[in-house]
Amino acid sequence: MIRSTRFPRCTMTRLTPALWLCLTATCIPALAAPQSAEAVIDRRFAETVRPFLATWCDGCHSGTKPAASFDINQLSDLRHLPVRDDPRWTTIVQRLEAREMPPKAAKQPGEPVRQQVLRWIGEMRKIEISKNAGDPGPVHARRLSNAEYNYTIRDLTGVDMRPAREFPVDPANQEGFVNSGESLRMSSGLMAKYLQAAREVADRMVLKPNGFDFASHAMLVETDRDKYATQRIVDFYDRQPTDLAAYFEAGWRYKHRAALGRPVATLNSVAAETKVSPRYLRLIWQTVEPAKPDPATEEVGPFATLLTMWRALPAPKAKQFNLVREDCIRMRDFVTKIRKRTAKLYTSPVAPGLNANAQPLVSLRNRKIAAQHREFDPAALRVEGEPPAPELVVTKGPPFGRQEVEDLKVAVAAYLKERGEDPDLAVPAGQRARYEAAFARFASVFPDKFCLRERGRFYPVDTPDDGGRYLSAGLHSVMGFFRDDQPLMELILDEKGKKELDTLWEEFEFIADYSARTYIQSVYNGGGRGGPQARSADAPRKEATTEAGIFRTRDDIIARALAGNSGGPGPGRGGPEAPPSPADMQVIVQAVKDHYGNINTAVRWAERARKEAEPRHLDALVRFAARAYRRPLAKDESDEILAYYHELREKSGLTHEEAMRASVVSILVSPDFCYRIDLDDAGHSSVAAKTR
Amino acid sequence: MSEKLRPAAKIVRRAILQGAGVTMALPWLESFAAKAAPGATAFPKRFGVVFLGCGINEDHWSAQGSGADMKLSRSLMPLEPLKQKINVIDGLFQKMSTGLGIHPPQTGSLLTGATILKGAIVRSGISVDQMIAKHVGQDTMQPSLVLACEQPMSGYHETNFSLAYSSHISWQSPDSPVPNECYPSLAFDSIFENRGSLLSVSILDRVKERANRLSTRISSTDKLVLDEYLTSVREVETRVDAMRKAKERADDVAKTKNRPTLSMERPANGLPEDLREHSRLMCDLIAIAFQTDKTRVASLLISRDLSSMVYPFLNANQGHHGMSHDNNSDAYERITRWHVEQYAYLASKLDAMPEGEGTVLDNSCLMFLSNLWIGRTHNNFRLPLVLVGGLGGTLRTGRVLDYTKAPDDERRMCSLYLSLMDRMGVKLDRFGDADKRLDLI
Repeated sequence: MIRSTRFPRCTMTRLTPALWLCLTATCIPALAAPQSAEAVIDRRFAETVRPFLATWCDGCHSGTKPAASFDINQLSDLRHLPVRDDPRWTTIVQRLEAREMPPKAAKQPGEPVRQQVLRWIGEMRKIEISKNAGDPGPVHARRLSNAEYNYTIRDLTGVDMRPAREFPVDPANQEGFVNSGESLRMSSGLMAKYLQAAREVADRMVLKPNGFDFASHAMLVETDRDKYATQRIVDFYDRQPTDLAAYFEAGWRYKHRAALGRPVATLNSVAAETKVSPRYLRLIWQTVEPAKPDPATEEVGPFATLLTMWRALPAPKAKQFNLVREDCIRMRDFVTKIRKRTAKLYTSPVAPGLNANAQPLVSLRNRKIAAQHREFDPAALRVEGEPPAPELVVTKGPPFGRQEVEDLKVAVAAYLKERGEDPDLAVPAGQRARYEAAFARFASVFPDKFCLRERGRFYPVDTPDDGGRYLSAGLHSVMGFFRDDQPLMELILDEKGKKELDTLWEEFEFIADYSARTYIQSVYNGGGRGGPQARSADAPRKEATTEAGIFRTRDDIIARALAGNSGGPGPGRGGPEAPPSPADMQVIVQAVKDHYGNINTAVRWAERARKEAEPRHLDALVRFAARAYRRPLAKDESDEILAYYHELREKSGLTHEEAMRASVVSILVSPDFCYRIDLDDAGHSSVAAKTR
Repeated sequence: MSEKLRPAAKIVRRAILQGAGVTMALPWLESFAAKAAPGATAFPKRFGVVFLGCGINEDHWSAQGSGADMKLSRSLMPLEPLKQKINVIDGLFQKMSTGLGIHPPQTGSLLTGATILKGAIVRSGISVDQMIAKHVGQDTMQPSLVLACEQPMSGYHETNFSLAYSSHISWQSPDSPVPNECYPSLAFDSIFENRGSLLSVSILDRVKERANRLSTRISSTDKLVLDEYLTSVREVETRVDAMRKAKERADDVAKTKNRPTLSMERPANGLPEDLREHSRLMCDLIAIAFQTDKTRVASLLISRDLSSMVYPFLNANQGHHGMSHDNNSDAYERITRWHVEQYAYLASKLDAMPEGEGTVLDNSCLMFLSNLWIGRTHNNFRLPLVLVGGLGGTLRTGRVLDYTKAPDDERRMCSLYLSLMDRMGVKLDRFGDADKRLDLI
């Protein structure tokens, strides 16, 4: 007899009450919706399949000695334990298809009903399979294999750090698999390794304003933090489309869109296709194909040359997308050359008490130059009949070795020579105003730099020996960073990009605390200045970066500049003999005020941001735990994690960062992370019931 | 975990011993056994480095003779009482640190023997002290103590090498130096308070609790697996606990013999005003950490390369680095000698701590070195170097070893490191640029 109860007693006894509830719950929709595929299957089972089995099979395959030990009545509920009964159904299908059953000698069922039963089995299986697709059902608890551990850490942290490389090799089971539960054992030796690996991961944690992340190296030392944060910004700069040749080429493709088979192309679609900034492409397009020509600026100087080159670009035939690449590169090189030779520089005034190497003046120079990448130097123009421009002071960077002073002179002379011989910078007599207007417009469209990824000590003169100083302010032997990317912000980036870049710089300050560190190093370590302050270790650091401390330094330096007192060797070294003019002195004083004002603002921001970020870090910690545990956390679980953090801070006296790291370690050695475990109450129940 | 589950848990334990688990656990169990039976094995060996930036006064740095007859020059005089326990080694160098420019590149490879990178990407190698710590550090509260009396600098030197190379001598990985601890109070906490291994205990307690809660929510088969995890956690905990107990036992023994173990009060927060006090505190911390076996590896950077330290108490009022450009001056000799005094102070302190038949110093090796020989010419073709301590009788002392006339490949610092690591039980085929041990050592 085939039992028709939904839950055969033998199964029911094995179900815990919780599972029982779950099962009942999953069945209710099926009962309530008679037209579902399942309901149809159920109905056809009752109408066709059960009578078929009772008529054609039950006679031999039942009772105390069923034929071939195949008891059709052992088929439990067909609809609810199909997985376990599947081998039996397979046998039935095989026998029916081969027409081996009922036996040849016996009376045979009609062909249509045989096919109906076969079809029913097929459909029933399809439904059952689809129900559990992607769910392997419960898996016995086991620790992650070494490979899984590595991959999980990679997915969790975004960094492929492979901490399991120090673990012993996973033992294989008899079948040779290294991921079977019975072979993946835990031992104290391995546990110690897990602890070590978790520490290694936690050492790489980097706190950010909105959470935390992981670096590809330890993040414990200042230079680790600098390295991490500057690399991200430099990577961002390097990703930006700043190659002018690509813009000229994109403009040309837009102009000839019809010929190129893209009659409906827009500037935006061309920008997307050629991966350039749509914003900047629009400006370039308006520049080379002006809606309202401006003969005053377009017919002389660099514009005239560039437009001639543009207009000379050949028209394409059919799919000649790359026809003008070489020409566009020539156009770019022309623009780059002009802008390099007309870049507007700035040399700050100096005072006997404060030379050009002093941080406030270096920072003034940096700010000035950063603000004028879209301007040009009128002194670069050679107007016929005008006297030559006064001597150009490119930099007053630190003259250290005699060789370096010599190198610098050579570099500047080479620059001036190139500039002095460039026919594109020659202006006919009396035409200065018109040319200046042309150059000004040219410079505003084509900045001499979009952003500065590295800066040497002799900036703006490039000294190859100083390469790789990412985002450096160009100081000598002390740290300092400076952001110089205004043209990128103004011309290339969209709102999203601008926000991303701002965030990267904010995070740099947050992660590396560079303003406070620059300040401390310059006051207490820099330049070997004598006096009791210079004993670097006993600097009262906490107090040093208070607003009062910073402003005291500012006032000291202003007083020194005004007094013309060099204060011994160090920052005063190489300073001018003569005092500056009153106007220059005003510039100097303002530069000192701005510099320390900016430092104070940055330090205060970082202080506040760190404080405000703590609760967000804790939220992130809980989210991290949920991802590490690969399931949502219950309230009491997230409470436990937070309680541990607070215990570390309040009872053990750890700092916020130390407590965060220790919490990450505790999450990574907890069984929830190291093991693959199915919780009884985690929603696998209905499947579990079927396979247990 | 409830007691009811214990019998089942034992089955799992047996299964581990039958499987590959036993090979994983054994080396560790051995070290555990060694810890559990005090006196059963030799005393631990310790390794320390004391660093002076910018070189010495070469006119006053020499030693002749051996043992009690050894004659020390002026700068080495502080070592006079210890001269039978020292080795003055002359003529070694780090070849990869030469020819790259001055200062940071002369320091960045000093203990690592690696070729370092210019620009923003800081990279060296694992330093000899950290290599030892990686091997022997697991048995102590702290793998190593990395201390400094001068704060690190960042930014770039004119050679375009990061000042990180000048500020750190200990590197835990090629990418990253070990943070220097400048605050004596925090260094103290790291060996006595809730950091280091005690933090591990706290973390392990927490995960034990976590596992117990979890066990109420999983199947009984899975509970067995979790029980194995808990056993492992407990064993790791026991090991850390054993370290703590060993220390308590040592204290008790000392008490009954009416010879209290060195004890020190926690230093006050903040940095000591006076450099002399600062360096003494740092030496005291290393001494107590070595004595109580809280760590077996330490480095102390008294002044960094490009140091801006001033020494008014030595009548030397300009910055250290500036003065090193006139390194054969009397003032710079005083600076050098003062650094050697700190080193001698630490060595004497260890020598006053009985251990077995000898002293803690006899089971240690402290290395004094600088990154330069002659500051005014930035010469690092030979390096000033002294060792003190006999590493448990494995290192002969009271000698002057002169390698100045040896060919370059027979006077490598890394060869010395290999020889010292051998004696610390860290056998490597290669370290930095060396694949052979130092001759004569």
